[in-house]
Amino acid sequence: MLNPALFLSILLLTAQDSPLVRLLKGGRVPPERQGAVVDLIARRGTAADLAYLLQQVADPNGFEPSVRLRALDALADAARQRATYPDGDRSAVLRLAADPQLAPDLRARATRLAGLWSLPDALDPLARLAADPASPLSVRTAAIEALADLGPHARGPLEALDTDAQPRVIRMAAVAALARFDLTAAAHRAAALLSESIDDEDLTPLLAAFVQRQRGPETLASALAARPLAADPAKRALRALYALGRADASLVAALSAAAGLDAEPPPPSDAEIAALVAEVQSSGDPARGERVFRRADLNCLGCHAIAGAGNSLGPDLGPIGTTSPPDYLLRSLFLPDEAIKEQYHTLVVLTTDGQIFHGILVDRDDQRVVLKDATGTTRSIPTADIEEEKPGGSLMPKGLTQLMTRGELVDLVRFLSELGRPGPFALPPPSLVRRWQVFRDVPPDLQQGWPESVQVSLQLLNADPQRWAPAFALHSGDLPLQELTGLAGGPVLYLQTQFELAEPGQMLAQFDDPSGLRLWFGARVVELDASGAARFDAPKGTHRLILRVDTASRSRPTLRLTLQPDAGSSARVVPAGGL
Amino acid sequence: MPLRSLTAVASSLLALVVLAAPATAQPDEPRLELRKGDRIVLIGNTLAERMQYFGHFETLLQSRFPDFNLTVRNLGWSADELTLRPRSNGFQNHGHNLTEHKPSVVLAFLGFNESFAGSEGLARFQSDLARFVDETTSTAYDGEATPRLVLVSPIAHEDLGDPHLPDGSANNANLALYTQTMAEVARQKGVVFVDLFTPTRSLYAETHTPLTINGVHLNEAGDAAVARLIDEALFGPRPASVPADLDALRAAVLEKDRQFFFDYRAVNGCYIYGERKEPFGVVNFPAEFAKLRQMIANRDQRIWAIARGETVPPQIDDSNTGPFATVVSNVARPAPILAPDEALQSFTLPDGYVIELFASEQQFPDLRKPVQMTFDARGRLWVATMPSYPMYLPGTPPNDKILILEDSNGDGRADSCTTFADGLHLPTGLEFGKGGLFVGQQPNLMWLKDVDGDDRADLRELVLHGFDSADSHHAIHTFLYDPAGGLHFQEGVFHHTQVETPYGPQRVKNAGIFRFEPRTWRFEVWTSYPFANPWGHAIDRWGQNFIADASGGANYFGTAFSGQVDYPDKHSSMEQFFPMQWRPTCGCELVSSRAFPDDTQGDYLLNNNIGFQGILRYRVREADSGFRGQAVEPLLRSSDPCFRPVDLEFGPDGALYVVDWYNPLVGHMQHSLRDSNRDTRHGRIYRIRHKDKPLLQPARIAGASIPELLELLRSYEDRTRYRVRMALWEQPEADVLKALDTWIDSLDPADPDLWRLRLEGLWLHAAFDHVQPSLLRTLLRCPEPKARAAATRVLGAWRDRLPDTLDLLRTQINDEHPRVRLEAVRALSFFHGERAAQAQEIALELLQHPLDYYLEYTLNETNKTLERRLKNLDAVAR
Repeated sequence: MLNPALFLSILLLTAQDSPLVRLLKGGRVPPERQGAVVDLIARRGTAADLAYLLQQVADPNGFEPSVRLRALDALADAARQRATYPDGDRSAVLRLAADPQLAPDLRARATRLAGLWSLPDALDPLARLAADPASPLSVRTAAIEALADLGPHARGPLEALDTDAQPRVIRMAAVAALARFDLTAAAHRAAALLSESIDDEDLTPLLAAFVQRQRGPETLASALAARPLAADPAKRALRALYALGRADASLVAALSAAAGLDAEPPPPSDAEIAALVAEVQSSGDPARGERVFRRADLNCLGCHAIAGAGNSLGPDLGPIGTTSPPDYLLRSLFLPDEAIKEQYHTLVVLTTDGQIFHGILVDRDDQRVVLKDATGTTRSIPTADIEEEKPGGSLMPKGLTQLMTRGELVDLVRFLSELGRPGPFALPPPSLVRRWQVFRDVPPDLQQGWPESVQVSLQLLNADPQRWAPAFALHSGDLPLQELTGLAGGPVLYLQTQFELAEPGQMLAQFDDPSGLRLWFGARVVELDASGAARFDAPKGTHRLILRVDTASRSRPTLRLTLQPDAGSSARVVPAGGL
Repeated sequence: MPLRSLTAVASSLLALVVLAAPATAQPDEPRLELRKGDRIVLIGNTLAERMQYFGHFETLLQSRFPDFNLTVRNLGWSADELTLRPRSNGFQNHGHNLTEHKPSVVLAFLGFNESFAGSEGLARFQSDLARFVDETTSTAYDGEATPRLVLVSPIAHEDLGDPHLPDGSANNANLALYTQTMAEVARQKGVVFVDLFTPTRSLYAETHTPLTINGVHLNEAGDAAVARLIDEALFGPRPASVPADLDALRAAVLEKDRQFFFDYRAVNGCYIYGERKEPFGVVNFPAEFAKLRQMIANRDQRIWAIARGETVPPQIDDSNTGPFATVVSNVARPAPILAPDEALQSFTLPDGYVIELFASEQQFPDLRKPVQMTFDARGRLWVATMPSYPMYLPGTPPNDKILILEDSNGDGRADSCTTFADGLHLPTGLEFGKGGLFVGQQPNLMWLKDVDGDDRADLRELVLHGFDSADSHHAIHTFLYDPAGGLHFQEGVFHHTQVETPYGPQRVKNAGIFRFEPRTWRFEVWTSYPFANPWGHAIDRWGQNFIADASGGANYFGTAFSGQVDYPDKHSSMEQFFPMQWRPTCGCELVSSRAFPDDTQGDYLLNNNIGFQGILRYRVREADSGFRGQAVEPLLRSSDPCFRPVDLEFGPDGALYVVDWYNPLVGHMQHSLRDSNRDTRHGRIYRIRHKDKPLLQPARIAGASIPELLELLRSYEDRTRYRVRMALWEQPEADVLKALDTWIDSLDPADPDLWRLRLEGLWLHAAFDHVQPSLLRTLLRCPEPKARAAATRVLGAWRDRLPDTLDLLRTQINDEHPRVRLEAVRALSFFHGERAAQAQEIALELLQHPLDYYLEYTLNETNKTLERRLKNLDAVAR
């Protein structure tokens, strides 16, 4: 005999309307907070709760647009994380997916659900969406992933996408999807795609499809053995592999051989480390080492900042010279797995369907494990899907030392071991601007003349944030301009930097040299004097400085800016991130 | 005595075991047969564990068998259960598995922690125990013979007559059941069983002084009595005389146990056997532990000699223990050590601030490696020092100290340094309480008391056990009371901690913050959050918590993630309350001092020890249910790379005191733990003040009457009220509660501080474990939202002692102020069983009001916890 309270709690768990759905139906939760209820349903709701969400999503008079998107995400999360699906007929999502009147983000989500739920009769509609050049790209890639969810009988439509008629991004997505059920066939197609890669193309999703799968690296490696890449495509692939934080022996061997690199030398002995340490101290050049650190193929800045300038996936290295002697730094480069700071410990997770994920543990509970991988992507893996997990090594790839000469390695370690110590590599003052952003593909009108305020406002200040690429100054604060002209597509660069004031007042921006520069505070032009100084009043809050740099008419190859309250100014800067 | 097989001995004893149930029964003949050279291993829970600190049982044993050369190893471990014995990574490689100790006799102390599962857990206990007995009696740990096994029951729960402790009736009902089950299994399996439950119950009735410290853990007298019970139960009446000098023998046993403790419970396991043993630990530790194990063997020899009645030299000859390995420093360019006056020149501060040296190793050579401080009621600065850091070196007894620094002439410099306690090992934290001082002594919490008033600790008692020590600087630190009398301390990742309490075991893995009520012995995991290592906790005047995580430099609004989760769950990642600037950090404090500029009041101060090396400062503002911080000009920066500020606290004079660990090396991972450049001799304490603001006349706390102390709760400074509360908690309960009622009645309704003062009154009731429903109800609905929020937390703590807690929480969750709603949704995470469903319904009412980040976070956390409990309930019901 159950007592009444216990009976009530069981009733609540099994009743048709859970407390959450009752809340939504009750009308006491305004639209702006319905999203929170929807999120709770995503995490904990029953199949009946999910059916209510689907019903609302399918109904044009149902949820408001933002709640509708969140409900679609909730349905996807429940399917992925908990294998929980709405009760009843779910085919409404196919109708939403194909409706050209609807917004692409809504259609893409609906498309994806058709795959996650393995809807019967979804194959043909999904194949049409994937192949249709008129569909938005996001809908097409969602359709490709959904096709792969349907399993081997989606092989035909996926293979049909890997033709010259399709853009490379669609072809790579289709091949990556194919890898989910036919590694060998996909590997041969991937090898062909990799052989035609071009600079600046993102190959990581294609490689991830193999390295994040059991036996994937070996299978791709043998396809590459059958069809060796030329040196440049091999290097591009190797770089993408390292960017994924992976150094699978078979793939590294195949790609290194093709790129003309030594694949896997043995780790150095203690005596070799000692000899390197001696060389670091006698002949290491920190300035040369800094240039090694910034090299694109090593991608150090992709994970590590130096006193705030760089990315934050790995530890900031600003004061590392004060804590870490050269032998420790060398060992960390050769053996990244040996010593890992607390918050950078990783997990390798193998899922029941043969996927392998490696990343820093962000979060875990009874339902899922959340990992952040070497590309900074966060992935949530349902506990129910985890076949096996074990502690992983560092996300820093082994083999980086292969990309350096002995002299470069010695210089790099000398640079690192000087960081934070008294001298030229002591922690830089906060007034020195070292975090910049550069505007990609400067349009011709902005290249040619001095833009008007309205142009600055429309084309730069209100641009898609994706158009701004990060750019980091050297430790000294010097920003090497030539490194950026490729991104800008010409000799004229547009740079921006942000700052925040806690108290308003007059600010002083001091450039090393005013030649070739024009400065805007927001959309307002600020004049530079002959010494390169500019003064302007700024209110409290977050602000942007925009800078036009004509590298052709500049008298030096770098640029340096210090930004601080002018003498006697009441302005107070909010200190930005340090380490 | 003829050597018979174990089974034969055991089965011949069956009748005895069954019949010899009465408390005073002693078998006529030995029940456990010992043989020359036996290796006796104790396993199980804290009942066994505490025996190593008293030594009575082994003293009786060795004296009774003087020619047997018995080797005794105590592997007891707090809160170990039959099927749950969590250890830090790699512990199994440390040489303390049964296959390495090769016992011929195993004494298993079980059943206490298991008994909290009650009658529902009994069937599982029975089958687990049967499996354990089968496995233990069929495994030849020494490779030759299977061991003789003895099952030892839990002791009974002693009623100490303290209204703030359980009287034991509930526990004893369960303990009786579990004891009975153990007897039953022992009978079925034919192994020896010692019933301690029945005889200790009689002992408690017969003895006038307490035999336990808290009802469930024996004190020294209790250990002596129980040692005798075990000894006589196993071997019959004591012989008329023994050859040994028992005092000398016990001293030798304790010395052996201490060295064995340093081996078995070695701190820094990560670097010895765990994931960080490469590349440095593998160089020095093998030789260190070989030496230590030889030292232990030498002490076994000494025990045997004394047991035989021989006299032994006063000093132990350890010349046979071998050399240490040579450790070559990898530091080519260590930063120079500056003298204190030079170091003073390294600081920069904003205009108007002054930094002064309060104390240094130059004046007080004992001030070596100071790490944490606190101020007593007389305004004296107490500081814990750790020259033995990073850990004990075999053969060199650690001599870490608690020092009392006193500035008797008020000139801002300490004039005297008194050693309150020495011979400690890594005192990672300290705070006053129960008329003494609590000190972190990993893996234990120690309580020290000066009985005769000479500023020397005369009493040492280990009060809590089971804090992990896999990384010695991750072990319990950052001691801080909340205003309701809960002592918080914190630990970092890698650790698997499990603590026995009179209310049942508490566990956490991979970091958390604890809350311990010395008055009631309630001990809880206050937050189970995946910190790296949280050295920093500040509480504002309304009881809101701010937590600093050292390693990554993160800072959190603590209320939001302090709801309950069930082991081994942890809270999800939560955003920081301001963007991190510099890592790593150590210690945080809120500015609350009239000796500091007005515009800094409420600022959050944060020590940084690498890179920036100074004190960062953040303006804190209210933001909906939580707070936001914004970086402002730092308070202090040093150009001396050895400056390592690790603790900071406003003193009684309103100046900020800063403890400087002063060390060229700090990394555990980057250098050998034995690197010769690790400093062990220096340490400084500084004082920061503002030249335009006069220092305060310290409040007179020591010697003040209760009414005077209550009046001091009006003080502006948070730290003054903090010390006043500690002083009030030391006063007699009845006197305080009586004076408190008068004081609260006397408060002027027009006083702008009325609600804060009444809240102080409520907190005082809570600290005395005294439920005061009417004051609580008044504060829950008072006009001051911060007081309503704080009262909601007290309501949560009293949830099982009010008839209508959930109804009250329903009102709070619909409060107009978001922080009150946040406290309510937090409090709802504490409901179990049948009340979880109702708590969940109430929690979801939060969605009828505007949400913000923290409300949404805490609702998710509470909902997750309740949902899991309901699912379990559902599964059980099915």
